[in-house]
Amino acid sequence: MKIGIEIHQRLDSGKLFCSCPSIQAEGNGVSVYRRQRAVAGELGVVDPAAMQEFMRKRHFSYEAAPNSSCLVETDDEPPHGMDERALDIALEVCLLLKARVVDEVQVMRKTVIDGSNTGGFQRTAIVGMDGVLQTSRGEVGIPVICIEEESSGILGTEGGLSRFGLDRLGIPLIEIATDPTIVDGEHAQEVAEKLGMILRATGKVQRGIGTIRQDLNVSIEGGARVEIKGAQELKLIRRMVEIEVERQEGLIEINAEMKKRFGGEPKFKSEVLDLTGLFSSTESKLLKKVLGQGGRILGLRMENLKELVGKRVCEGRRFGTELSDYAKAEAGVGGIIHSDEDLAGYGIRDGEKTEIEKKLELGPRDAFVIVADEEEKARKALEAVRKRGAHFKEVPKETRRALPEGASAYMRPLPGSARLYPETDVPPVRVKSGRIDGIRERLPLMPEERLRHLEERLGKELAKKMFNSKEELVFELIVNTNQKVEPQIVAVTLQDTIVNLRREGTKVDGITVSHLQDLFVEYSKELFVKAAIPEILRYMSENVGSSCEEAVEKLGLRRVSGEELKKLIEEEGRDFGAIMKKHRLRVEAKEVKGILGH
Amino acid sequence: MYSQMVSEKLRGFGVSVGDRIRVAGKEGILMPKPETGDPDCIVMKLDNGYNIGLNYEEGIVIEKLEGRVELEKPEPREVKFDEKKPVVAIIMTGGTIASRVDYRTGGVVPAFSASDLVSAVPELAQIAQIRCKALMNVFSENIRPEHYKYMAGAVAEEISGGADGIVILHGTDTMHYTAAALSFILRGLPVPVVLVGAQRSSDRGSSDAAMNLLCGVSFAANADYSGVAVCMHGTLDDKFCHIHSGTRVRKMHTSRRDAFKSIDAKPIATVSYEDWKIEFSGEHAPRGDGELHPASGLETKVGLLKAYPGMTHEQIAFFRQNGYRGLVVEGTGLGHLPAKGDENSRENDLVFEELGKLIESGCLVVMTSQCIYGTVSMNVYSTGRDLQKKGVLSGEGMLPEVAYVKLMWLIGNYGPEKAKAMVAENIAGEILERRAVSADFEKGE
Repeated sequence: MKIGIEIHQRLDSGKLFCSCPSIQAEGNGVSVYRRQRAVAGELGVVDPAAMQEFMRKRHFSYEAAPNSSCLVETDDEPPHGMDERALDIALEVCLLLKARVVDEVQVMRKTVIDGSNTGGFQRTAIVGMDGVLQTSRGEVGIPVICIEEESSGILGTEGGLSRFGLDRLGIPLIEIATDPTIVDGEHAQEVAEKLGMILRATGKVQRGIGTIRQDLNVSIEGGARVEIKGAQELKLIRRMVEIEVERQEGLIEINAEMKKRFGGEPKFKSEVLDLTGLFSSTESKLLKKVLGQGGRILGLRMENLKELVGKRVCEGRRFGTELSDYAKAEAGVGGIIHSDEDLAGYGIRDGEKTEIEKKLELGPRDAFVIVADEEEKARKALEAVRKRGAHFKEVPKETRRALPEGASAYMRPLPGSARLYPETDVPPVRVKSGRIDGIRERLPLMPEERLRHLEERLGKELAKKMFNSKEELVFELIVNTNQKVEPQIVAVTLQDTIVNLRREGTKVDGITVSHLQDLFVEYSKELFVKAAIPEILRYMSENVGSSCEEAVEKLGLRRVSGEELKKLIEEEGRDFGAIMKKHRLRVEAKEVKGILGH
Repeated sequence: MYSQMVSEKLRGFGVSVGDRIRVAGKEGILMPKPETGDPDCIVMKLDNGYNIGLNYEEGIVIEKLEGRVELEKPEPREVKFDEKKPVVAIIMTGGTIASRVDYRTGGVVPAFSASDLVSAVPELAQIAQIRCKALMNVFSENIRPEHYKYMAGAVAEEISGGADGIVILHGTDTMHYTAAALSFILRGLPVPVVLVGAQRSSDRGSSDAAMNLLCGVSFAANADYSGVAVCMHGTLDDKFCHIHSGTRVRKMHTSRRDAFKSIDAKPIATVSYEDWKIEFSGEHAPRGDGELHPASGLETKVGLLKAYPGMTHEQIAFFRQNGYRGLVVEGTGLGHLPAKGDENSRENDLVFEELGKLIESGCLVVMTSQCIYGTVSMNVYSTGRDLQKKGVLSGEGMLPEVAYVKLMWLIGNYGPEKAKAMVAENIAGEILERRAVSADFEKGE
């Protein structure tokens, strides 16, 4: 079994080849209408995946939100040079994965004509190679790390017109592909999680829904390479692998049975026939609706396939589901109806079934498939079903899309390799060793190292709380810019004090990182004592924009120490408990104890 | 190009571009070096299709492996045309539209034969019988007046060979200059001659080349029109093309696909991409049955000069000293240039004086406007009146580029005396008698 993962993560920088910000903001902009054509690939042949999209004769419309797209996105202005920050982030990830950085980044055009790129191609470049990820089940190789453009997001499809938003187009993505040495579904999940952690460790990747996507490559012995696109939930990765393995096993079994029945070469002799006449008085709501809209009902005999169309392939899917996916993807129909199904469920009567069988000249071992739709679409759908049905020499190589529960559906054939050619509008970028060294010096710690480093400063319990929490970066920032403050106090303030303030209803959102830095600078100058921190923060939340010093003055919380404290103790008596009770927010217990000689 | 050092090393290892090689543990095909990039970096295509650049360092070993790759040439296909359809001759002169990308190098290489073109855009055969002539392969910024005669000759040849319409594939940079030149040269033109270009290269699915070509061929084949026109995207949408008059059109944007606009006029027609249907916007010259009689004289000693606040008299003097016979000034506003000085700007007086000397030397000076839209009028301000007194001729509402081409043509065919009288005469639609009121002049609405 071979399993590989590809991760696509959006980077937190400007767009890769223009000067727009990487924000997703739809809005009232201009809408541009486009058609795309199939173009000859690198070797003079049209890429099969590209061709299929062309055959569907789709039309596209692109919404150009004014703040987040420009003429580069509509393919009406040449690309600008590659965004330097995005490249730096990609280089950083390369170093974290111990990959070898290429000396010159060559931008390529990757043909995609599903409309998701206005130009008909995606710009992509290899930045690093031969990286490695340590996992609990051994090393997993990272043969390539690429930087590329995000595609535009689909807003909807109606009557052959797909609408896309250009705000997403051109946001930089890093693509990390593993080699196929992942052992099983559980391991795949671990790899995806680890890669995600490394990316987040940079602190320079976008967070939130849709900002990271996982694609899986799965093939089993005797099966075929299948790419499953768009797994958004890490938790499902393990299940996805398991279901795909089961699906390929199921298909291998069906293929063996078909070979037996056909005795070698597959051959469907039958033609697509128009069966509309048989349904003039049908009670099927589904069929009546199609007929009412001027549609036709076409049928196809599938020799030797009786009981195979209805055979289970994997969880929740029959061979008929696979056929149906092809009809949907290649002809855009809603689905198919086949003879291994309970036709009564569609409101098709036994008499009608008999008529179909007669008209299609069905033999005892044959199955049939019918499609109700516009004639051209229905015909195309049945041709796709026939083609898929006859493909039983091996498991087809496919690109599939992830479904919510871990299953997947056919999307398009696996793209051929003739898809990449040089992007001549963008000059290659020479990566000098000085640049790499600069990034290497500022490299963030890897997750394990980070946790260990936190533990050293905070102890196991608090470190665990801080690790991967939202405040981790703020914590590091404060501690790294203020050598005097004890890390424990910062951690407790971030993890407990602020949370408590919020719970009691204080609006803490106004407290910024620089407010906190200010607080700890004053604290390390001994302006106030630890116990006063909650009061000061409360004041600063309620009086947005006020400085820490102002809060201390207004609240009268300036620390009493040294001679002043000695004087206070003389005046009020040498009772530790009483002093602390009265002046808890202004004196440090340790100092009081010192004076009292405790 | 690789640096001399790398080239020598490659030779030393016995490898050349296209060879399968192994360098520093990586296998792939050695690629040519693009024009940009570090010439010391070796570019190789990996098996996954990506190119990478590896710095050549002393001591690196390049191994030659089995499996050299040659760029595949698409098999030319036999194309059969419907003999009932009109004949359209496609003349290729170069530019984006007549190029295809070498997918191996990414470089742009010239196309095509008729069969190349029809296999790239198969719908062409539904519109017309296509004949192709690869006349030349020149990016339009490199086109010179000499090329205009050559193109006019090719058009004449195709028409006498029975073409019902002509399409010229042309780079877009100077397409409007060529359109104007052919408008003047092709006297008695009986059929449409349509210049078609592309703003985005034809390797990409989104290229405007196919739509512009189909709409242009449809117009050339079927429009009841005679004259020279430009066919390009009407808007950013892939919906219709505009057909612009050859003397009223100008490239107004560096990169948009709807870069070409009719100035001070509506486009002659639109052609729908959906069904190639032609809709005229108003009156136009129908197809003729007369004889084409090209007048292809062109005086190339004609200049085009833009007026600007800091211009100096030496610039004007240049044209006199070098024997120029015509000069079109792209003046400011209604048709002016810096001509009157005060204590801070004596240079202006010198400019004005040089202009007089230039005209006295026998050079025809024609004033147009860098406003692009609207006509010049040299009666409104004293500068204009002074310029007229010096002998500067009004270019009326002619576009500067059109005036430049027209002046070359007039002097080349009629000599300076007659030319002087003909500058303000409308010959090929270049001078409009009236400009309609529009709410937004740039949109022509």
